[in-house]
Amino acid sequence: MRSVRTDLASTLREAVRSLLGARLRTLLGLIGIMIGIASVITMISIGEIAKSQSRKDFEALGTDIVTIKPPDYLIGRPGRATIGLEDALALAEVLPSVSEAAPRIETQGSFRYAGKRVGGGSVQGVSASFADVNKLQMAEGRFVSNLDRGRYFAVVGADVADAMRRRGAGTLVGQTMEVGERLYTVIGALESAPETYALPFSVDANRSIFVPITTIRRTEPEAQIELIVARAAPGVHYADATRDVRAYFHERARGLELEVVSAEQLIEQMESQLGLMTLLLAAVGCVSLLVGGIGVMNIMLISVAERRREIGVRRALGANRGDIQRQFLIEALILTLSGGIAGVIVGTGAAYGIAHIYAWEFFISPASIVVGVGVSTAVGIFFGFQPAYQASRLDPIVALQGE
Amino acid sequence: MLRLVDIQKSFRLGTLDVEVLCGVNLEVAAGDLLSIMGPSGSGKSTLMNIIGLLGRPTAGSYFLDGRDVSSMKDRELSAFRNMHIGFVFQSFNLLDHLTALENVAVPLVYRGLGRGEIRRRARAMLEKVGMEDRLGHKPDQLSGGQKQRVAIARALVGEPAVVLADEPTGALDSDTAEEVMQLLIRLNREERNTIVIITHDPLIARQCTRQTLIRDGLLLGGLRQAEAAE
Repeated sequence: MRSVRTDLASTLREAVRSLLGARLRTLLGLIGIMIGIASVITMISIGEIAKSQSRKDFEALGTDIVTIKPPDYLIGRPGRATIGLEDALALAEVLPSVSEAAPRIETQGSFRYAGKRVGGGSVQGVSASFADVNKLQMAEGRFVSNLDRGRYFAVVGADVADAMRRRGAGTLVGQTMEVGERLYTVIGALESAPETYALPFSVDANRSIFVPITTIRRTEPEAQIELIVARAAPGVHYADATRDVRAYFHERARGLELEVVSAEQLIEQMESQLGLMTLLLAAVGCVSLLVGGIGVMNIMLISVAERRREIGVRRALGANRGDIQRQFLIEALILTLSGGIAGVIVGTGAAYGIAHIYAWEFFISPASIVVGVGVSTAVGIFFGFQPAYQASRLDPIVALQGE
Repeated sequence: MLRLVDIQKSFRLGTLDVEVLCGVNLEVAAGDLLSIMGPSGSGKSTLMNIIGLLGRPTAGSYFLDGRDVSSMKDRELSAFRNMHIGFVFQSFNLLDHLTALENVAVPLVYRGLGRGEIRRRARAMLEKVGMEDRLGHKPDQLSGGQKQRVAIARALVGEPAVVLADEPTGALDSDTAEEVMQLLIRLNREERNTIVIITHDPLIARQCTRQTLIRDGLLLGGLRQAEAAE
């Protein structure tokens, strides 16, 4: 009996040749797998990149951050208890465990300068500590101070400032801008702040303007404080700070429901959220992979049907069932594996693009490559098996009658 | 060397058993150039498939190279087919995506030989059939006669016990057919290859050294003793 089976190199070469023989079909099958693998790779990479980026953003902001906000499901519900402005402003003074507290009332508006639109976005009513807590840097002028009570002063974000300069404003401080229906005097402009999409609360400073919180209270009496960003006092454990904050508001506002979350908890929450998201997205990717795999199976079944005569000839020339099965399985594998490699490349590229758009630090996730190659191999074996088995079971006489 | 004893083959067609071969006896000795002639529907394809180890008889015994092949499993049977049988088909059946040389190499690849030896033997065989200057051509670059030469080289490259040629000239014009026939005759005479030609054409059959006739599932002249007795 033959001891040495057909050597792998020539089997591979032949498989490549047959695949090239049906170029369009091969290409289509390859694209199917490529899309599947690419989406899985993109999802996994972006998940990992976002995770590492959000941790980095948090660390830049400081891990002593504590956020206080009503639960999302309550926002906008009429008749609910809300955070009192005076309570929010007094928070840091009353509680020794909290060093700073920056409440925010956010509304939307469009910004005009010299009669021309210079952007639109959030109008954030804040206190003096907001810049500090969120590490916003001044490019020009000063930030909102606690002495600006009720005055129509505005600090513009970097993008808004740029737009105003393009409209001919030399020095921004002292200029007058329209925010909605009202006129504001610009008292300062911010440096461009890094985007922090990866954080669960986004200040989005560049496209916003900041006004005294007391002013926005007057112009938008319906708007409520939906966020307080606070810092725990040095050396205070975040658990103590959050406990104190809860007690503080519990005492002052009956029935007020709040989420008081420390940075550590936020990071954990966010990571588990991102993990879940990644899982979901990967599941979507898997569905497209499944579709791709079915495509490969379809292509291989067609290939087997079209090449019945070849199968018959090979059987007549001495190929046994195992040889035929191996041949078709290897073809399916080459198909899915090259689709997989292309998918890894495209997926990594897509992840790079997305990371670039959000200005996240890009890295190649090794896990995604292992998953991509591994999964495409598995898909090839799984979906290639049935057609290969079918090919191997063909009666050589029937197969030789061909077509 | 090749002996069929009382081979029967029947197919089930619905509820009906159709007997295609009803007790065929055949002996082929090394160096024979034997024709099996018969009209279509006479069972000659079925017989060829059984001789070629592609189909199994319903009853009877088949000895090839001293071994009873009727009990062999797929793996062994395939290896045996690879070692002992060479096929030449009416429609050539070359693999389109392979070159002439690669087509001829296929039986040796399944035998698991080394790459160098496979190339050497395939090339030598193509030289023998006069195709040495077409090694790298694909089937669609070859004429019908050239294709059949390549196919003959493929059948012979493994030095099989017997070459089965099923209407080898059936798809060729008469001049080319004659050339291919002469090639088979020469390979038989000079190289002592054992060749069995299945045909419906008496002109082809006449050129063989032994002739048999198949009709209604029975083979006439299959036994060498019978021939000797005449």
